Amino acid sequence: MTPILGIMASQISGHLFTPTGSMFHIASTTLSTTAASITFSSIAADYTHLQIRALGMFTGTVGVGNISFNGDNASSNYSFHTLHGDGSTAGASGSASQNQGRFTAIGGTTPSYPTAMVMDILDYANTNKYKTVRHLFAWDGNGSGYVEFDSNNWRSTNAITSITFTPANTFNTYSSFSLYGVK
Amino acid sequence: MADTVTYTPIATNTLSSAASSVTFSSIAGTYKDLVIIAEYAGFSSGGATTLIRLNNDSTTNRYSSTNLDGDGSTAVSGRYTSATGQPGMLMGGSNYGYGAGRAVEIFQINNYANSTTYKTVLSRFNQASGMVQAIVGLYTQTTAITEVTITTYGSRTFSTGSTFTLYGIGA
Repeated sequence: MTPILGIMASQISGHLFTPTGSMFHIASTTLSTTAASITFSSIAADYTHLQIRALGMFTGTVGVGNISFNGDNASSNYSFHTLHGDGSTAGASGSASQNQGRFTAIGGTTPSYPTAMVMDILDYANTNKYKTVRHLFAWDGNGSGYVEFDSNNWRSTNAITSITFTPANTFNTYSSFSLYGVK
Repeated sequence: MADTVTYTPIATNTLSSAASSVTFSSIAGTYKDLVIIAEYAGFSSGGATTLIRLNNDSTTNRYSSTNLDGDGSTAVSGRYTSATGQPGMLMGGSNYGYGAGRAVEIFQINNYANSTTYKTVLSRFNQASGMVQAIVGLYTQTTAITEVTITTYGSRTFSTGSTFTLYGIGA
């Protein structure tokens, strides 16, 4: 139907529909020095969902990295489930009542091999429900590698206003994280 | 400052005849990430196995990949190192390569324009008749990506009607 609407719209003056996108860039960081964590803070409740897109570099092995919301990292309010593959074996795991969620998994790599991630945080500003996060992260090291799907749950009805990523080892320079809002 | 709208279509290609590859070239470094959405109308005999080649670099010792697959009964994980000798990173359908049916694949190339890190490509491949997959590929060059070729393993082809669209996500 879109082409028909376009033809009709071209004959209307004064109220033409201008297509607008639904995904907005909110903030980005690219590290110029190593960092123990990366935080997006003061996130407004302007959107329905959030997406975080990243290319992480690490000073050592990727290891189990954590994600936390609104500075909550001691409440046992997090749980997660994973589906993963290390290039030879596929597996699944889960854990309840954690102090933080999970954003990377155990795995050995070197600082040369970037870890890519796309994370969706759904209905993040809703104050009537717990928050659910899904993401895919993976890295390949030419002879090693890891692919993982994660679901994280944060048992809080607070709107998410800050997100912190804490790796097992420090983030290396050139790690880049970007936060987007989806209407 | 107001947040800026993004996820911009850059180019699209619908195959009017079967083809063994589709290339997006002259990609400006304007965006932070690239997303390619491919809808494969089918594959020629031999089935689905896609490769991604970057910057028209066919040097076979520069690509590797790791995959996580489910075929409806089991989950497996596999890997292809540079020793496999492919002129690109093996992506959708790798580890199987027998399904010729319709499939979709979404590629994510994060921070594609930086000239410091190796390049990593994420892929999600879904073929209802055969499998679901997540794949990560590595390209061991730090050059900014200006050209992406989606091609096939061996001499297979994408069927007529397959669509490929390149998007840029700004930052």
